[in-house]
Amino acid sequence: MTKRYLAAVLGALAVLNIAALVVGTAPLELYRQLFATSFGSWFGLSQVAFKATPLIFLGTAAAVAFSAGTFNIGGEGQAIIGGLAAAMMGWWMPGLGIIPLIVIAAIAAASFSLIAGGLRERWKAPEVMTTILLNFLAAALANYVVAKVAPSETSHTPELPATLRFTSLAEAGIVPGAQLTVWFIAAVLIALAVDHWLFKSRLGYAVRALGSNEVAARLFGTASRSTVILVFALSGALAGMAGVHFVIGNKGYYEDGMTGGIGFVGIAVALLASQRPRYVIIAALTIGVLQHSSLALSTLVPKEITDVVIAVLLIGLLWARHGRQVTA
Amino acid sequence: MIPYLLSTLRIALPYALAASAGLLCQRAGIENLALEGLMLASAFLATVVVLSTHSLFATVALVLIGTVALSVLFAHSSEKWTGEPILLGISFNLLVAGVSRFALKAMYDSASNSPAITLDLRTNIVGFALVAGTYAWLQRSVYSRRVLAAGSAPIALQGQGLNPLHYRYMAFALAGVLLAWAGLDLVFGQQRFSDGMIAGRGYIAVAAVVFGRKKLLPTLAICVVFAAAEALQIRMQNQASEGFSLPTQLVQSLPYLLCMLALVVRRRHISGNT
Repeated sequence: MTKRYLAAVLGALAVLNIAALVVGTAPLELYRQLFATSFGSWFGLSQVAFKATPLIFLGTAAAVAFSAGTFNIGGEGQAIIGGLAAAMMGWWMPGLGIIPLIVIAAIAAASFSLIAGGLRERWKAPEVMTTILLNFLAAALANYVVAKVAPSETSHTPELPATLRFTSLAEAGIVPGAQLTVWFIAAVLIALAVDHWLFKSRLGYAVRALGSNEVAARLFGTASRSTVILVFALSGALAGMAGVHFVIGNKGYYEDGMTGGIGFVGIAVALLASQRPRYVIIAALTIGVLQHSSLALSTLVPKEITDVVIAVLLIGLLWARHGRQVTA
Repeated sequence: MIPYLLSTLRIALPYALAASAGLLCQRAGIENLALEGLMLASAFLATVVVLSTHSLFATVALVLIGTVALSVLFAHSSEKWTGEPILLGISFNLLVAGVSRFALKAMYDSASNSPAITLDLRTNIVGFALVAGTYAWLQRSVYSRRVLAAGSAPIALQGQGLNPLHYRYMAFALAGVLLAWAGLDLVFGQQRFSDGMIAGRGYIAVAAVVFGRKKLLPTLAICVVFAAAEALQIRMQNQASEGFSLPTQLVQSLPYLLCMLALVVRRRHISGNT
């Protein structure tokens, strides 16, 4: 049903056209600018990769959960917790080193995701609902912590020392203005590793078995309660890495609302990639083009149109998936 | 005490309307996670119509028609086009949020607020009447039994020569009316539209529906508990200056925490396909 996928993408682009017409811009001009800002320069290309970095993590996180037949709608909250943990621990222990800091962020985000996993396994609380509610709770927690520790006249945690931050291309003097860091490469490698694990390992097989027929997988002992717990932990840790992107890879501090609904975009990315982590990379770059260019195009069309285009794409993809008759 | 109880009821109204709507949809066999988006759509539509026509009648009429149409469209796309009510519901919420944000920018040149609404609409009495009416209708009518059958035993309806799809769509149309009213209530309550004004109420209502297990009274009861928590939160914030204080963020999270607790106490798996 590749045709349907294509139709979904074209439908989302049509929304962009309509919006352009509504505000009185010629669609062709819009596309010309879109390509020029995204592919016309090293700066544009690296910004696209920069925007794609958190999406690769969140897309992989959602894809892993989908593969096991669970819904992780909590990418947003897990990213918040991951970012917050990195910002706070880095501030408390500046001598920690960047790798241990990332590990701490991963553990924090995984534990947060395990709340939903545990409630599901122990009390059968539907994870669709609990992960959504945990998003609100994560935002409230972060809001509380930020209000406690923010230096006066700011609304973010104290800045991390330069040793606990990735160097961007701009800071390295390679591409002026580019925010891209080494974290993009890490994102690609991690997505490929997760893909390999999911499709080439015994445990990955158990996870996918759980997704295609939970009862059978559990009955035959292919998968067990610990498999589900593992999926929640992994999915949460991956989403937490998106938070690391914002804190260690970009701003150097945690700020309220910094994730801005990106967890839901991650779900769109996972669906666009038909739940395969290796395709998530391509899907994330595609959405990255949209997100980067929407800023540059905001004089032509209000940048809020990105949200609409992504939502239409999501609905289109659900429709395309329906045609394929796959199990979630 | 009396003002506290009154404000609890006042806050409970949109929850009760949304949860009743969610319950209808669940009885008809489609999990409706789009409550949030449908209320937002209603609120936004109301703002646009009020600001452009200055007519309450036109507003109420158009909001009802629009929300019912969207609600039925949602049911149809869930049934016929995607087969995935959960993900579709979440996508629908994102779509409405995106469109309203875009339209705020394009129409009123503001990132977060519409201009203030000067007209006044008393939504309370009709709102509570709608909830009570839903209850009576669920208790008494054959039609509502058929809606229930459309969800849990569609083949029984087919055996009588009835089309389950018809009853599902009708349930969503009624849910649309309730959600339209919830949106009107919220937007006339704060006299303007603001981005993200539903603030998770739709999702909390879904949790109430899960808690209620297809029964309206427990669903409404938990809505009142959520509302009591919210009213308490507002009260505590007002008293914070008088020496008594808890972290506001903790207090604001009370409804969500309660909601999680409710899900644990009365669990029921939401499955991907119903």
